[in-house]
Amino acid sequence: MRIVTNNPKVNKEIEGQKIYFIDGDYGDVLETTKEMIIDERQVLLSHPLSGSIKPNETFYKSIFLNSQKSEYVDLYSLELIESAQATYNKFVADKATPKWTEEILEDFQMVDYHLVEATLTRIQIPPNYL
Amino acid sequence: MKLEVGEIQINDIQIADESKISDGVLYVSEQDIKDIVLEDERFASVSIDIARPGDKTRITPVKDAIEPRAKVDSTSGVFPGVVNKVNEVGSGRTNALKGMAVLTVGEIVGFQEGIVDMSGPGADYTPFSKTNNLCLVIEPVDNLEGHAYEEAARLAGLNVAKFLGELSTELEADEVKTYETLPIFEQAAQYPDLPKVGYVYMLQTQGLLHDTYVYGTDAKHIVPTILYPTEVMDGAIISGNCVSSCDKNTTFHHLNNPVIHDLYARHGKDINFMGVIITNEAVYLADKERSSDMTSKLAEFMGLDGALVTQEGFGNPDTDLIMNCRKLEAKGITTVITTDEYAGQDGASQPLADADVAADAVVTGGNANEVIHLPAMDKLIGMYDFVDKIAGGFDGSLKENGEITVEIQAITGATNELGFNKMSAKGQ
Amino acid sequence: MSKKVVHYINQFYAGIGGEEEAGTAPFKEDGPKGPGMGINPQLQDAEIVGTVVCGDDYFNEKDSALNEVMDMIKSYDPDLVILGPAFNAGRYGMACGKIGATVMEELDIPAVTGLYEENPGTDIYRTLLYVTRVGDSAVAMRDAIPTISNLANKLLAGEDVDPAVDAYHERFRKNYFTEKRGSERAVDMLVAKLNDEEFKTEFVMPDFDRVDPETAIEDLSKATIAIVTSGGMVPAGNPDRIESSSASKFGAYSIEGLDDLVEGEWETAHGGFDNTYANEDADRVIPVDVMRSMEKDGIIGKLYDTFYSTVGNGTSVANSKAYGEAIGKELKDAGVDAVLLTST
Repeated sequence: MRIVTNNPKVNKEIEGQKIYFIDGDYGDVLETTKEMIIDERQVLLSHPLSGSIKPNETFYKSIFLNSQKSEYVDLYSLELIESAQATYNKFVADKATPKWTEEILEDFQMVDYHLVEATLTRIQIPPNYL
Repeated sequence: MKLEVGEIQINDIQIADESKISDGVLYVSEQDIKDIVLEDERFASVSIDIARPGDKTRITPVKDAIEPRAKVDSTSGVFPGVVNKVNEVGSGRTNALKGMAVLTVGEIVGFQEGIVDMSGPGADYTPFSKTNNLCLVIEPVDNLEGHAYEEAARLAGLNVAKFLGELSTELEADEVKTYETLPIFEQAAQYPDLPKVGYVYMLQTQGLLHDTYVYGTDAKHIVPTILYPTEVMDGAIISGNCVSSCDKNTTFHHLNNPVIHDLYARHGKDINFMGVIITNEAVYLADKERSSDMTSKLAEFMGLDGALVTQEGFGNPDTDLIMNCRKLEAKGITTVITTDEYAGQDGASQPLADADVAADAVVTGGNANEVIHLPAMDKLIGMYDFVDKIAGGFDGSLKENGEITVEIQAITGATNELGFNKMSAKGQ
Repeated sequence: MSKKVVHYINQFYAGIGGEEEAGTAPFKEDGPKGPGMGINPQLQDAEIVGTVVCGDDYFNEKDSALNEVMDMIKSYDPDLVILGPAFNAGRYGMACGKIGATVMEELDIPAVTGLYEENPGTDIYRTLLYVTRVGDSAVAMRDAIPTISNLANKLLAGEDVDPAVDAYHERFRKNYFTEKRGSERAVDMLVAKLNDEEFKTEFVMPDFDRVDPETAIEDLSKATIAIVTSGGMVPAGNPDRIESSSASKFGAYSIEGLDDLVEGEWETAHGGFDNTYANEDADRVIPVDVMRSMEKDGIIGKLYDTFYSTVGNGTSVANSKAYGEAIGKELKDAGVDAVLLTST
C-alpha cells in the first residue's frame, strides 16, 4: 500500500507506511495518482475526493493506492480519478484556491491528516487480492 | 415502537436569574449554562447570546444546531451514549422545545464555515432564521487541538440542549404527536396492500470534522443496520460534522428528519413505512462496496418495494449515493434519491461528482455554488475574522462595513440533502 | 416599432451551393432568405431585417471569419439573432454555436439556433446560447421553424423560458424556492414511481455512452491486430481529402511491408492540434514501428496490413458510430482479432 500526499504532516507523522510525497498542490496529487493508475497499474483504495472540504478550498490531498502492479489498468480507479480531476478543474476554474495563511494551512493539514488516520484504521490489513 | 412527542412551543428566549419555561418563554440563567459548558476544562470561556427571527443579526461560524429534548417518565435519556447512558430510545414520551435551537458557535478550525442571518436575503436560505436561537460562543483554552475542540463543542451543545429540554418535563405539551412503527412482520401485515417503503439514511463518516455518531458510536465503523424511525427523534443520531455547512445535517436536522416525518405522513395511506436503514459514507472504497451491498441486502431482507435515499456532504458521498441507488434498483427496489448540486457559480457545470442513469428520480436541494450578496447586519454573534477564508467566500468577500458576497454553501443548511428546505434547482 | 432580428445561414441554405461552395466569403443581404422566409412570418412584433451568409469552410478555416460575420450582424443593430438551424451538419453547427455564443457574450442579446442532439456544436455551445432541439436533417425543417420562432418570440417579449417547455438544451442550473420542502417532493416522487405514474426528476443524470470492454485475447501471439485512429493520419497529400474537422469519411491505407513510417510520406489531416510532432513521425499517432517489432518478436501474431483513419475533431457522434461500425465490419470480415485504437 502507498499513500500519495502533498501534506507534510502526513509525510512526517504517519509511521510504518510507504508515503509518496509530492511537492505540489491538490491537482498535482490527482495527476500523479492518475499516472500511477495508468503507468504502474495501481488500484485506488480510497476515494480521491475524500473529505467534504472543497478542492478549491483545501490545499492538501492524500490518496491511498494498492502498490502491487495489477495485470490491467483498473478502469474503475481510472474513472474515479478522472471524475475527481473534472470536479477539481470545475472548482478551481470558478475560484482559485486562496493563498492561505500558515495557520490556516496547518488546520487543513490537520484535517487531512485525521482523514488519513481514520482511513488507516478502516483499512486495517491492506488488501493483497486486488 | 411507539413514540409520543410533546411539542412545547418556545416563542421567545430571555436571559434571567432562574432557568425555566413559562407561558411559551424560555428563561435561561447564564450561570447555569456556564456551569454546564465550563465543567469541561477544555473551554476557557463561553458567552451566551440570543438571536430572534427578524433581528438584524448574523451568527457565524455556526458549528451545530440542536433542538432541546427530554424523555419524560423514562429510564432512558435523549442523545444516548453521548450525554446519557446507552439505552434504547424511541418509545414512550419525549418533550421537544419547538421554535428554538441551541447554536454552538466557535472557530474550531481557521476555515470554519456556517453563516446564519436572522433577516435579509440570507435568512431565506437557512432554517435557523426561523427559530429563536440560544447561541453559545465558546472559546477553547490555548493550543487545544482541533479534534479535542470539536469533541468538546459537540458535547457542550448537547449538554445544554439536554438541560433545557429537561426544564420541560413537568409541563403540559401544546400538542402531542404520535409516531409508531411495528416490528417487521407485524408492520408488513398492518398494510398488506400498500407498497413497503424504507428510508436509506446515509451518514457523513469520513473522519475528523466529518463524523456522525449512532448511540454514541462512530458510524464509520458500523455496518449498515436498521433503526425504528422514532429512535432518530430521540437523538440516536448526532452530528460531529463541521464542514460543508450548506449540506451538513446538524443534530437539529437529524432530530427533525423531514424524510421520516413525510414518510409517516403517507404511512397507511399510500405507503407502508417499514423503517430506517442507516449506512455510512466512507473514504475507503472497500467500505463503500461493503456498505452499499449491506444496504441493498437489508432492503431486500425487509421486503421493501421502494426506498428513499438521502445523502450528506459533497464529492465522495456522491459515489455512495449512486452505488446505493444502483444496487437498490438492481434488486428491483424502486428508488428516489435526494442530493444537492455544485454546478459552478454560473450553474453551467456538471453538478455531481458521480452519476448513473439508474438514478432516474432525483430531488435536489439546489446549487450550492450560487452566489449571494449578504448585506451588513447590526449585530454579530461569533466572529468575522474567518469569513475571508471560508468555503464559497471570495478573496475580499467581506467588506469593511460587514457586507459579504459568498456562495450559498457558506450558509448553514442552505442546500440540505434531507430535503429540509423549500428549495430546488432547475434548468434555464 | 417592431424588433429587429438577424438571421445567419450557410452557403447551402442561401442557395449558393453545397460542399463545392463552402469557401464562400461572408456577405449580407437585407430581409429574410432561405429558411428565414419560413421563420419571418412566425415572428411577433419582429422581423428579420438582414441575413448574413458564410460558407462552412470559410468560417471554420479562416481566422478573420468570426469578426467579419459579427460586423455584418452588428450593422443591423439587432435585438436577437437566429442561426441555422444546422441539424446534424457539424461545421455549420459549430459556426452557429460560435457566432451565437459571441453574440450573447458581446452584444448581450439572445441568440437562438437549432441543432441535433449529436451535432458536435450542441455539446460545446449549449450553455452559451439557446440551442433548440431539432431533427438530424433538413427534413425536420418544418418542425424546427415553429420551435425556433416560439422561443425567439418569448425571448424578444422578455418572457420566462423553460428548456422542457421550449425544447432547448438546458443552459445552466438556477435555484428557486418551491412550495413543498424537498423531502415531501421526494416522497411524492417515490409514490408516483411506485404506482407507475408520471413523475419529473429534478435532475437528469448525464447518460454516458459506455461500451463494455470485450473479453481479453487469450493468446496475443496468435492474434492479428489492426490499427484504427481518429488522429487523422493519412498518406502525404491526403488522397481522400479527409476534412480537418467534422470528417465526412474515413480512409483505409496500406502499411504492407513497412517497419517504420518515414517523415514526408505521411501527414495528419487533423485540424484540432499542433501537428508538428505527428507529421515529424507518424508512428507517434499510429505506432507501426513498435507493432512491427512486437510482430517480429512473436509477442503479437500479425499486424494487419491496412490501417483505418479518420479525424475526430468535431466529428458528430452519429458519424463516428457509423464509421466505427463500417470499419469493424471490414476488419471482422478480414479475420482481424483485435484493434489498437489511438486518438490525439
